[in-house]
Amino acid sequence: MKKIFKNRLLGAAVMLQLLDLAGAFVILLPFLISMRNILESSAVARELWPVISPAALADILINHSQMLATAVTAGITVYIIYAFLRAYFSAGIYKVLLATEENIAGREAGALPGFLSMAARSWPGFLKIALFAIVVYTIAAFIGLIIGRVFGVLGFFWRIAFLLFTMLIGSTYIQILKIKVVTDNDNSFVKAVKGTRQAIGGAAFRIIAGNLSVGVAGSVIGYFLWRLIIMVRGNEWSPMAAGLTVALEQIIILIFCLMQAIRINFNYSILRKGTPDAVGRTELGGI
Amino acid sequence: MISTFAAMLILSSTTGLSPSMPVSYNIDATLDTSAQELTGSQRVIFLNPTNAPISTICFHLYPNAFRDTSTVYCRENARFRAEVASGNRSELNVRDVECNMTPLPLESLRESGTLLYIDLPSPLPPGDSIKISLGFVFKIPRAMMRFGYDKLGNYLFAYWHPILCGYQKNRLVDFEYHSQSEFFSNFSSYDIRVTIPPGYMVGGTGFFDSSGVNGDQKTWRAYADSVIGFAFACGPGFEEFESDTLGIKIRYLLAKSHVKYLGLADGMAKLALAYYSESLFKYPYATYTLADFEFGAGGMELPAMAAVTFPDGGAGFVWEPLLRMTIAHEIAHEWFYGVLATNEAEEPWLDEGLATYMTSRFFEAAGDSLVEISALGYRLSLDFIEKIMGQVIKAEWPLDLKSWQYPEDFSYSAIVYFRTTLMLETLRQMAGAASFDSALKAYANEYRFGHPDQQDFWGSFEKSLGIDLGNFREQFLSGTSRVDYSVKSINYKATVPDDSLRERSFKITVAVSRELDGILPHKITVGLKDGAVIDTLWDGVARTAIFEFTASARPEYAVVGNDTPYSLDENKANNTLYLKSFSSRLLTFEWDAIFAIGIMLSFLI
Repeated sequence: MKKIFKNRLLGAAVMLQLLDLAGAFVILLPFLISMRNILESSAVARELWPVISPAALADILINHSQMLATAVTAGITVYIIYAFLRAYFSAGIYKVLLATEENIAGREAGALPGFLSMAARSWPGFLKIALFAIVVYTIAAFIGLIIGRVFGVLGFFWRIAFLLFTMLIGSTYIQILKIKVVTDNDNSFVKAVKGTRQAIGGAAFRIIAGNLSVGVAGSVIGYFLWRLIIMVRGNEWSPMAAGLTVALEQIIILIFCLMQAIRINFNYSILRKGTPDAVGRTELGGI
Repeated sequence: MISTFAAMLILSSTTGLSPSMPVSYNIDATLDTSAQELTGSQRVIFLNPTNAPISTICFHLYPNAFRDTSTVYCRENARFRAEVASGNRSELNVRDVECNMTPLPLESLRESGTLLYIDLPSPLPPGDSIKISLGFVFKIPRAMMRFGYDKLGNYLFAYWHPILCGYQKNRLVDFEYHSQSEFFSNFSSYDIRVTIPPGYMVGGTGFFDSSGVNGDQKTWRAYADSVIGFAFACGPGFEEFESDTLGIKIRYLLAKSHVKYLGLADGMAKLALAYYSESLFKYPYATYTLADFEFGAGGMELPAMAAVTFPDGGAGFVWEPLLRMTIAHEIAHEWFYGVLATNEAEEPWLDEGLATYMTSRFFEAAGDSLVEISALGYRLSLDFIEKIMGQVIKAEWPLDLKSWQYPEDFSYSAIVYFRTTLMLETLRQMAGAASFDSALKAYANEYRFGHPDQQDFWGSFEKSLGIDLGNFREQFLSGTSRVDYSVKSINYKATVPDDSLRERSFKITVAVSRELDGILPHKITVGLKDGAVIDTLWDGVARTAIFEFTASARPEYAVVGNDTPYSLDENKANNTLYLKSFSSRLLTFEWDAIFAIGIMLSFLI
C-alpha cells in the first residue's frame, strides 16, 4: 500500500476515488435506505440483477414518487454541502500530485497533518473556481450541443462525442486554474485567470491533444471493463459474480480518477513550460 | 311508388350496395400544385342502412377544422390554433349539390362546423338508395395531421373529400371533428380518378392504374371495395418500392433520405401482417401501402394504408424501435379500425386501445428486442414504457369516455391507448391465455366488416368465456377503479404432535390486503422451504383477509397474485413477502448506484 501511495499519480487517483465514493455514498444514503425498506423482503429484489429491470423501475417510479422526490432533494442538499468538503480535499490532492516545494515540505511534516494544512491553504481558491466551473460547464455544454446538432447528421455517437469534447475542454481549463492556484500558493481567482492566459495561448493545441488522448484512452479502457461487467452479469446472480462486477466497477472509477490525475500532471507540465521567465521567455517558445 | 321502389332496388343491385356497405363514391379530382388545391366532383350513391326513413343526410368536411381559429378543433388544440393563425389553413368547399340529378336549393344545405347537413327532397325509406352529386374544392394546407403537403412537395390526402357520416345501429354518427377525435364511416366502394403531374409517384387505398397522360397531367384510376375511406399519397419526392407477403402487395412510398429504412419497414410489415392474420383473421385486402410523410404525429392509420413519419437520423437506437412500433401499431389498425370499423370518436378504446394491445401482443410474440432501446447494455422496451404510462395516469378517467371528453392529450393517450392494454391483459390473466385469445378471435371474426360497439365487444367476450364480466366492466371500463393487493405478513408456528412418531407440522398464517378500490379474484400462494407450494383462492373483496395453511415444512414466502401479478396491479413489489432478506442482492444494487454517482463525480475534478 505504501508503494502505491509513493507513486504520486496512483496515490492521487486512489484518494480521488475515495473522495468520489464517499460523496456518492452520502448523496445516495436517503435513497438507498428507502429502497432497502421497500425491497428487502420482496421478490422484486431478484429483478435488480443484472441491472434493475424496467418492471422494478416502473414500480418505483409509479408507487414511490414522493420517496424519489425526497431522495433527490436530500441528495442535492448533501451534494452542496459535500462540494465544500470536496473542494477542500481536492485542493490537498492537487498538492500531493504536483511536485511543489511546499508539497515536499508538507510531506516532511507528516502525512495527514501535512495534507490537511496544504489543503486548507488552497481551499478558498478552489471554492472560487468551483463556482466559476458552473459557468464554464454551462457554456461548454451549450457549445457542445450546438456543434452536436450541426454534426448530428453523422449520427448520435458524434452528437455525444462533440458534447463530451467541449466538456473536456471546459474541465481542462478548470484544472489549469486550480493548478495555478496550487502552484502559486495564491487564492486569487483573477490572478489565476490572467496568469494562465499566455501558457494556454501558447500551447492550446498541445493541451487539447494531450487531454483528449488521455480522455480517449481512459474511456476506451472504461468501455472494455464495462463490456466485461455486462459479460459477467450475463450469468445468474451469485455473491461471486456480484462481487466481481462491483470490483470491476471500482476499477472503472479508479481508471477515470487515474485519467484525471494524469491530465492534472500533464496540464501542470504545460503550464510550467508556458510560464515566462524573467525576460518573458517560455519553454514553449516566444517572448 | 312501386316503380320508384323497383328502380331503387335495381340501382342498389347494380351498385352492389347493401346495409353492410351502403355507400359508393365516384370521384374525379385534379390537383393544382400551384394553387395548392384539389378540385373535384363526386357522385355518391347511398343506401339507407337503417330501419327508419332518413330525411337528412350529413357529410363530414374534415378539412374545415383548419379553416380559421374559431373551429372546435382549433379551440381545443393550441398547436394547430397557432398553425392556422400563422396562415396555414385548409378548407373544403362544396357546390352544385344535386339529389337524383335535381339541383338542391341552398336552404336544403346547413353547414355546422365540419359537418354539412342536406335535407332530402323526400324521406329515404329503409333499403332505398339515393344519388347525390356535388363539386368540391379542397384548399390544401402544409402537412396538418391527416392531409397536406410536406417540405419535399409530397402530398397526403386522407379525409379529403366530403364523406358521408356513418350509421351505427340505426343511429347517425355525426360528431364534430375534435382535436382528439378520429373517424367513423360506413363501408363503401370507391372509384376514383385523380389527375396529378406526370412525374409523381402515387399510392394509397386500393389499386391504382394509370389511365394516360394528357399534357402536363397524368390521370390515375383507383378502385377499392369495402373500405371505410379512401386515402392516397403522391408526390415528386417519393421513391416507390414493392414487396409481397401472404398474397398482399405491400407498397412503400419513401422519401429518398429514408430509403435506408426500407428493410426495417418491410420486415416489420411482413411480420405484423402475418401475426395479426394468424391471431385474428386474414388481412382482407389485396394491397397495403405505407407512405413516408411528416405530418405532425408518429403514424396515422388509413384504410389499407398508413402514413408514418420516418426519422431523419440522430439517435437510431431510439428512433428505430419507435419506427418498428409505429408500423406494427398502424398495421394492427387495419383490423381494429379498418375491418372492425368501430366508432373511433365515441369509443376510442375499441380501436386505439385494441390496436395498442395487439401491438403489445405482437412484440411479445416476435421478440421485445425489436422495440428495445439499448444503451450501454441496458435494454428498455418501448412497449414497457407504454404500460408504465397506463399506470401513471392512476385511472383518473374512465375508459369509455368519448374522445373529446378527455381533458387533454396525455389523459386521452394514457387511458385510451395504454390503460386499455392493462385492462385487456388483466382479463387475459384472469380468464387464461388460451380462452382469452380464442374469445378475441371470435369477436374479431363475428364483427369483421361490421361496426361493433362496446356492448358487442363485451357480449361476444362473455359468450366466448362463459363468464359475467359486468363487474369487471363497471370497475375498469366505466369506473376508475385501481388495483393493488399486498401480502402484509407471514407467520408460522410448529405444532408438536401428541404422537412422537408423527412428523412435525407447521401452522402458517398469511395476512393479505386490498390496498385500493379495485376488486379482482386472487390466488394466495405459499412457498415452502422444501420446494413445495400450497395455494388457495380468494375473491379479493375484503380489505384484509387472513389465510391459514398447514404444511410439513416451514414457509419461505407468500404471494398474492395469479401466477404473476395482474397487469392492472399498480405495485408489484408488495405482492410477495419473503421471510428471508435479500440483503446481498440489495448490496449489489447499492454498489451499482454508488458507482453511477461516483463515475459522475469523478469527472468533476
